[in-house]
Amino acid sequence: MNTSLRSASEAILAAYPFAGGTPELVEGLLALCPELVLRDGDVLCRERSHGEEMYILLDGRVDVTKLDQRGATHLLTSLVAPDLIGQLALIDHAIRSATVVASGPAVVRVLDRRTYTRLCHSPTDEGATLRRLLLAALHQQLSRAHAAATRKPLPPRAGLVEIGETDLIEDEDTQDIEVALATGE
Amino acid sequence: MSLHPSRLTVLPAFKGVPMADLTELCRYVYGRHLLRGEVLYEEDAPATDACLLLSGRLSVRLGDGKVVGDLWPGELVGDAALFDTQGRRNATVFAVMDSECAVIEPQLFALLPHNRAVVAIEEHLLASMARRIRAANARLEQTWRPEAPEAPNPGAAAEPKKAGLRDTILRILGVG
Repeated sequence: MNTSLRSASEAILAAYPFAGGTPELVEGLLALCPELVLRDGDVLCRERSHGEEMYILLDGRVDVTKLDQRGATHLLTSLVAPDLIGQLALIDHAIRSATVVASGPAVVRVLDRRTYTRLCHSPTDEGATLRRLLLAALHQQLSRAHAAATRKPLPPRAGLVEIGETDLIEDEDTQDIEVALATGE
Repeated sequence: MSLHPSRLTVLPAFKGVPMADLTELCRYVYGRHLLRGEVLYEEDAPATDACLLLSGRLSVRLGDGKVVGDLWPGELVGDAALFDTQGRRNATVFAVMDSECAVIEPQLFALLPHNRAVVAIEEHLLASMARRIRAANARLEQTWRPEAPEAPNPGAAAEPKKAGLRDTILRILGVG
């Protein structure tokens, strides 16, 4: 048993609980993913690039940035372990929606598209673990987005760091976002 | 109402799924028939199951009465209940025409982890949720307006600050 992977697995399950999830299964999933050690400033993925990997942040912190219409870079947030990064690109083949940069030393596990495709289509415990972990993460993301669009209280989430300035958004825009969340249109 | 596996074979999501797996799935899901105008899910009602639309058409209506979209055969509605059994419906869903659904309960995934039809449902869900997140991100980018500097107006009462776009983006990306 790999102690660090086991503790990481338990942390992931605590952050993204799902039916049938066990530390053993999550650890098995992590063991299939090569480790990547990042230094401060290392770019994990770039906005608008095509993604062939997703990442599981096991240690450290990364900054998530995005370009506005003028090309200026805005720091959206920082993510701290445990967290999933870049999974949408594997699910829907679309381009990266943000740039992710290591903020200090960080460690991720890399799940490439080939492994993702094999597991995602597989009626095995490993495949179920990956699918359900992703579903749990996406569900949390949608729940928070819906709460934001409807101005309802958000559930707390530990381990997050918020930095930066704010911009203005009009009330009618939040309804458009709410519609998109509900229908995907 | 029991469901025959042949009702599922017409859906693209189940293309290639062995009939044995569909038959097993049908032991754990049941059919529900909706008449035109009948409400499937009421907003703010407890969310305990999801539905896979087999035939007909459903519409989604938000709290202010605005109909925001339609659902077609093969689409899954109410999927939040599969992850949060303590949650409530965030919209009303009703039948625009006579429709038939397969009702899916959360325990299905724990009961049939190796069933290829369940794998198909999970993959379908991943694609649907990813699409919704992308759509919300796209709408968010369209509305992104950097804060413009305002000239000071002595004597004017300070207006309450509107919800920051940054905060909303944080929450859209799941980190707020």
